[in-house]
Amino acid sequence: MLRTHKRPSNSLFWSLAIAAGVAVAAAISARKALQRLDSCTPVCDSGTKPAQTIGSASGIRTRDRLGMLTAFALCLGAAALLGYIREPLRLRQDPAVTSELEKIRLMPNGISGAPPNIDFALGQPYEGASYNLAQGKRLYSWFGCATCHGDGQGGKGPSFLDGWWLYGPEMVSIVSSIRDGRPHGMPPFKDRIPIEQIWQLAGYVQSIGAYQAKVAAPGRNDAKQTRPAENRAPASILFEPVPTLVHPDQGPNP
Amino acid sequence: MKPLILFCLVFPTILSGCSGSQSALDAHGVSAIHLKGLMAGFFWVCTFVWLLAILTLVYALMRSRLWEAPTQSDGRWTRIVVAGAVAATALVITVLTIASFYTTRAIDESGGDAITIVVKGEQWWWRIRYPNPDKSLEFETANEIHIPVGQDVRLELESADVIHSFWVPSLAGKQDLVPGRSNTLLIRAERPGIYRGQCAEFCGLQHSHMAIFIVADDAKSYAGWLASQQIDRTAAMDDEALAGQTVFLAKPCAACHTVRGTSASGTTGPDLTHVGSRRTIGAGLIETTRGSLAAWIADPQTLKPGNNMPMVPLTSDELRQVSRYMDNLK
Repeated sequence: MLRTHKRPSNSLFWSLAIAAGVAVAAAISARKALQRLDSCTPVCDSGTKPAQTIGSASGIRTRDRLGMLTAFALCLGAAALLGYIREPLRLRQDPAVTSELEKIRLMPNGISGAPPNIDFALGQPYEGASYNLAQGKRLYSWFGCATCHGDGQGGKGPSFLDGWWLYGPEMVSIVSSIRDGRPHGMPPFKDRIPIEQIWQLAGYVQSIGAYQAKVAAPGRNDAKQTRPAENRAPASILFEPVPTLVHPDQGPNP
Repeated sequence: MKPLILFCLVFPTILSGCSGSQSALDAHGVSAIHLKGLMAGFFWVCTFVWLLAILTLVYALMRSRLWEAPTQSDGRWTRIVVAGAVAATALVITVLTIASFYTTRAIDESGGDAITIVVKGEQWWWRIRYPNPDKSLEFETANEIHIPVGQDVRLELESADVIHSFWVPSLAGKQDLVPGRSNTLLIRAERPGIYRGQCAEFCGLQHSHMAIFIVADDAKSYAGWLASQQIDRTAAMDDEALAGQTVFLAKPCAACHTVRGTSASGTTGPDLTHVGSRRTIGAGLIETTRGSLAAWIADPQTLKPGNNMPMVPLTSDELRQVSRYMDNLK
């Protein structure tokens, strides 16, 4: 069986092992250098007069080298640590996990609500993990979202960039809008996109018009940019002073 | 001594790559044969020059050690040898350059009408389109190109996302598939056979599982294959397969895949109209059987982590029906 994402305990072990290995290697080489210095001194002393000064100069050189090695070991350790705390790449979710993602609990008016517990258990990866945002960006073009919403500026459908979320900016609202559809034109996608992909798409849509910039970002555009990238900060510089009014069925007006 | 032992151990493992279904030394296509001839020429010329240089060096060393030759220059004789060596070098380089030029030109030469096939690289599979002026006869397939033996085929290479590279070593050299461009590659298989190819430009997570097969057939079998691909669907399907079709059309499958003759018309995934007739699924990942189709549908992210096929939740009955349906799409 292929392991698609690394287990944190495993990577912690390896990063610490690498750091420890480098530190040990540095210590051994430093010690060898010092030993060579010690064994050299009597021979050098028996020689000409300036031998003493040469010995101390090479001592300083050894200490310099030791300092450099320590710095190198520290840098490598830091790199290993950064590698450990990087975002884990989770390519496969268990079927039991994905089916839990269906369990969003909306408020009676269809706006906002409670995400499923599994979303918190996973660490809200559909909002914050760049892999999922990038997948969402791909799905945005795959399923023709741009036909109505353009590149986020809207068109036949509402804009994501005018600073007004018809049903609120929460993930549950966006997931529900995609999955179940909304009045006046938004079709339900539940028979066309599996639930995990709906969450990925919702995370991306949320990041298009987010009030605060996210740390994670999807991949860059290959095509010409028609608006600032999704990871620019803050999103609100693009918001219109007065968002477009909506139909009473589509949530409260600004 | 150690490096010698290491070399003796490692060298045969490198040589083992020189045979089998995917090797430039196993040339069966006209450009691969040209290239192999050129490389053989380079190899033997370089071997000869190298041996000559080494022999001269050995002679020079022996001469000064054994025969106590004078160390100063030998005047006229030295000048002749050096001038001769320079002239020979210039001659060898010129001949090899001309040979290289003629080979490159021969590779791109089409002798008569060529069949055009559009190959589009996607992460991580190959979209193959057989264009036809009559749109009803045009069709798409994936990861498998059928060509007639002895006839020129012009491949138009495009890319949907990142740079890929089309490389079937037994038939031709590499050619990149660049987004926004259309490159062409001319191939002609001289012998019937199944030639494996591979994406040769790192293109992401599953670059290594992006294989392609070129099936070179005689003209008659090729025409038969073409006719079978042009029709929309196979005739008889049993009840289980029909139930599978219903599931396929109701579930998200149909949003990404096309099965001609049904309402499934998604274009982001491979065309599945004749998926059962292809040799492999997942771009050379596993052989096409009903079992492997079911395994792929049930858990694509375990078989090919990171690919763009999501796991669609199905009950065991539905999985059985859909895999039967896929297997029936010959």
